[in-house]
Amino acid sequence: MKNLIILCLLGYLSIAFADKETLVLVDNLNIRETHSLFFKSLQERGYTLTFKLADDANLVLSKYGEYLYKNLIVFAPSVVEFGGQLDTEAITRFIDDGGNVLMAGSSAAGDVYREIASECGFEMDEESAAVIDHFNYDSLDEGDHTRIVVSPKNLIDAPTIVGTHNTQPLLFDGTGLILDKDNSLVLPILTADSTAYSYNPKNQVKEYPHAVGRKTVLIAALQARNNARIVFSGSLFFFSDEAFNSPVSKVHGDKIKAALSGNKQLSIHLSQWVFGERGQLRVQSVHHQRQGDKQSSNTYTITDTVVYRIEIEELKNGKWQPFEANDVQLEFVRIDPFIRTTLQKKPNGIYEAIFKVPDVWGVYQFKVDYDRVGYTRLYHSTQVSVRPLQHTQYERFIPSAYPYYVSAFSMMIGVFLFSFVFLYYKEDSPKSKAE
Amino acid sequence: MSSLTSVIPKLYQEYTTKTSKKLKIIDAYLLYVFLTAVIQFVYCCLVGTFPFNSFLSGFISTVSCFVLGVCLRLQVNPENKNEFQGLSAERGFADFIFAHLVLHIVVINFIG
Amino acid sequence: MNKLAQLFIVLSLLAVSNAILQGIINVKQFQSLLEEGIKSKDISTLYHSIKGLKQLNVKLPDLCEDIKNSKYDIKNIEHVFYLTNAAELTGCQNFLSPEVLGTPAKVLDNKDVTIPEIYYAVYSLKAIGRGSVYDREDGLKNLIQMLKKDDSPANYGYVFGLCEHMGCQAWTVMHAENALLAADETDGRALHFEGGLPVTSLVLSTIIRSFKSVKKPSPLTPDQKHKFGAYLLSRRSASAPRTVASLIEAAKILADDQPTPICIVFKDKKYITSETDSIEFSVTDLIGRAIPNLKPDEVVAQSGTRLADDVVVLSKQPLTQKPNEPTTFVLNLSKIKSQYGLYKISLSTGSKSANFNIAVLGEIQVSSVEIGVGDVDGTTSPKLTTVTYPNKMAEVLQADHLQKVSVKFSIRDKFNKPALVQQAFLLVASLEDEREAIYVAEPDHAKNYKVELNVGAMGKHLDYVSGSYSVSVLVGDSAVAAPLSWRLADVKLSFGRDAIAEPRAARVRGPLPPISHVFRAAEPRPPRVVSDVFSLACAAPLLLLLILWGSLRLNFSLFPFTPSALLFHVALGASLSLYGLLWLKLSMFETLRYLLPVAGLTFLAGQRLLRRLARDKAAR
Repeated sequence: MKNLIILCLLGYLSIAFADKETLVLVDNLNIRETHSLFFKSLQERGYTLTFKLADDANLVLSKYGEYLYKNLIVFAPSVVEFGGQLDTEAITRFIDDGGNVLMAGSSAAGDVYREIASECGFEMDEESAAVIDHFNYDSLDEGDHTRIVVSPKNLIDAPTIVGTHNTQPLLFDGTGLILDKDNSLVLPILTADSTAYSYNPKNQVKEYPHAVGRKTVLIAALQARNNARIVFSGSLFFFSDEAFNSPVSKVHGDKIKAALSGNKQLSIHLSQWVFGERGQLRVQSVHHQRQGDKQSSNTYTITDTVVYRIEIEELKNGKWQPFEANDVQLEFVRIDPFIRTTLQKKPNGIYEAIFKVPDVWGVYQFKVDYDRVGYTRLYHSTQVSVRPLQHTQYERFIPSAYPYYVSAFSMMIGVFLFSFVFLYYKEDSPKSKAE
Repeated sequence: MSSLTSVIPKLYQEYTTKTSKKLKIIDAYLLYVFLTAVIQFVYCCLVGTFPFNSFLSGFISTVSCFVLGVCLRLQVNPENKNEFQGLSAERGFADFIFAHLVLHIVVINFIG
Repeated sequence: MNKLAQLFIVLSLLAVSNAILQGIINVKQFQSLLEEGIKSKDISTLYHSIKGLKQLNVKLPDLCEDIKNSKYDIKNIEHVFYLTNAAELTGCQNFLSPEVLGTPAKVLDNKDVTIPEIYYAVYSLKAIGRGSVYDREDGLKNLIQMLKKDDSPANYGYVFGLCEHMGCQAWTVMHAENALLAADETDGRALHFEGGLPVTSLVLSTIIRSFKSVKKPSPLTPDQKHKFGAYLLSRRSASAPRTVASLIEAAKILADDQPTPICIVFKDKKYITSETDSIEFSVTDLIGRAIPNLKPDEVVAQSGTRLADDVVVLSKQPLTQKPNEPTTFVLNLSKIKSQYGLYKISLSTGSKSANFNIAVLGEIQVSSVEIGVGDVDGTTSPKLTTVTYPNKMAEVLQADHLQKVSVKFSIRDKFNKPALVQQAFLLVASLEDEREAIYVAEPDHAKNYKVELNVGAMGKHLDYVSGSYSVSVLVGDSAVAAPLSWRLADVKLSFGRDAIAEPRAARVRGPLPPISHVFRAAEPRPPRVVSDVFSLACAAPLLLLLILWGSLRLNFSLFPFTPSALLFHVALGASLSLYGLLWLKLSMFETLRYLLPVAGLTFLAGQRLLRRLARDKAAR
């Protein structure tokens, strides 16, 4: 028993430790320096970064079936083929097993990127295509109008992912993505303006571009059903020291100017989200009982009033803290939901609902399915049975039934009296009967 | 029509004179049971079947009492003596009481 | 594929070997960053900031107190090194406590000392004017032994550094070439040493200084210089004082090492417009100084080709040096001013060259714009209306799913010649929400652009939401001075019977509409009065019974005054009363428990009574 506890503890520790283990795949080790601010921010938050060349022949993600890393950063757009045991399939498996991936490409990114992107539900434009916006390019652009200025208004409305204070314009230089419309798990984190399109900057537009207008997604994210998170940026430049420290000044249009781009803030936020520092929810406890009862029960009678409490916690700054929201809903489900109600927020992350059990008996579930953009999907269900009223629980002495009660007792009195009258009556004139 | 009006008093007279008092006692009892049943039925028709179990037990109680009463009357009637060879009126009464005891416990249990 | 890649690398190597750096390191830009750094309490930041500012020849404020009060660990030789050398750079040695001497001495006595520790210790002692064992000849032998164990570039750098102190530069000269070969290459473009900027800076500066001190030409080949320069350029965005100080040191030492790598950058604009017909280039060394011994006529534009069609537009055109600005060279491009587009200019200085992309920007206008609505099947030709920029068509067009909207326009340059642009799109955007659809206009042979929008097919992109939409022309190109976005008309689209807004996503995220259960309505109940009246009515027949029985003149003459008779009736009454109790509060089981004896009694008493009555009757 003691050994088991120690084993569990060790396991837990190793998991906690492994949460910060991050493999960084780069084209060349120089990226470590050109993107030093981004990596520094990660290291300051406790991540252990292991830098490897993307074509390193000894790349491994897992050993003896255990993953060595929880997070993977791929900053290697020019990789033609990953080295070692790494390939698209291995990365997909890594994601399927709950690993988080941050990937940044560029217009030079090769087919490996395209394969991984399409596994995640994004479609990346062809090699050498870049997002061009002749209306919103930066003054430091090289002439192709691919260093574009993107307003923070184009960010997805999900503070958990992008943070709340994105006011500075963003610099982007890279390739465009489009999202699979039917895949509701993918999120367009940052989209281009209506005037943008993704095409090879050197060519005339002859075919319909891969991505046009606001459908051009610059940074996309995916939260898989197992809560693995992926952020896929079309631009590696986006995370670079140069982009972090660069002033922004748009050449045309509203001529937005800023002393510093908002890239650093957004990049850090994105990394916090993708590696699970934000938007992680868990159910701490669930309790339900008949109102007025002390004990929990898993059998209710129809029309009982039930109190359901769920305690939800959010991971904040590495600690589980009460979760604050006002849109957590509870469903009371028997095949279809019979009741769906918004839980009332109580102190300490407790959410409560008080409701009357439907007058239809059967096997029900208390179901909390909290699925919001940017948060891990919170799903909790408890099965209870709802039974009909017991023989003794029906309403009694109903006024409208009084005539029936009276009749029934009248019959009883009747028979009692009858027994006297019938038994002891003596015929007056037995003679007349004899006649 | 006229024959009917003439028949009823005749029948009544026949009944009052020819029927034994003992049977009349039973008949009075049956009339009482019948009337109670009718009133219940009228009430139910008027206000709906809502406490349906109560209505059912109340009504069945009266109907059963009526049936038992009729049975007793048949056994007691001297005219049917041949049919109930060896079965005395007392025996009939004992059955009647026993049936009532069973009937009422069921009725009360079900009346709610 | 692999071979191709190799070929590509070889080609790029060739190209690089004679290349010019396209960028300079503006060392002055780091001044404010470093001045911020000298306010730091951390000794490492403080030292590197001081060192960087010294490199920039900035006059330092009095920092003696700051150095004294900075945070350091006296046991840590690296800290002691920073402390003593910061003190030396600012002339504050007197402020240091004598204790700092202890650590270096201890380090040098240690058997397991590493090369960096020796370096730190020796230079710490040197900074406060003390000598050490490493002043002597046998020190080098020791170091060479240690290098055999760990020959990392950093260690070489430290040994080269120590040699400067010990006077063994001759050894440095012998081994510099090998050390340089250990540099890592990225993409065939840049060279750096393992360990990043600080190590690269250390190795380069020690080697170049050592060669200078023994009056030998630098061992770096022009190619190496170029690649180290390229690496330094890629690190221009460094922001930590340590890397910045290293960057400045390396850039300066590399720039000072003749022949210096040449850097050419656009001085200001990289495009010409109708107003300006020349482009200015800065030809400098790595840190933006004029290149000594550069003959002005050496700077030549070797060739210029248009990117779109590879037409050569200029060759061997010399640049002119701007008077009073020795670093500025002007390329006159008035020849191609009217030919909009992107050009590749190959500039060379001496044997070196580099390619620059420049743009000839032009103004464009959209003209002969016609818009109209016609039937898809072509039964009626569209009635086209002409719109002129920048007006919007007054009339709102109407089109349904069996019609198409045609737009024709041409793009003309300043000289009213038809032009082609990269982006000639038609944007159909909803006036009510965010929906938009974009169509590409295609030019015909006469460079007239045309788009036909089949309204039925558009529905897919606009989610079949009928309503008012705006139609805008978007024209943009890399060579266009100002892009053009013109809302030329509004159109009311109707998508007919398909106009059912489809749900966008299968799974809705976010709160769902609440559901509440509808309970079965309570049965209608009669008013209390009615049930009370009927209760009485139900009791009434009992009264009637009593009356009837009364009218029959009952008698109880047969009543036998026996216990069994009484008992029978009492028991019967008890049984029935028990039923009353059952109704009121008892459970069935309790009732049965009580009923059993009572019923038994009833049975026995009844049997006796009835037998007696029967006997009496028989006796009569």
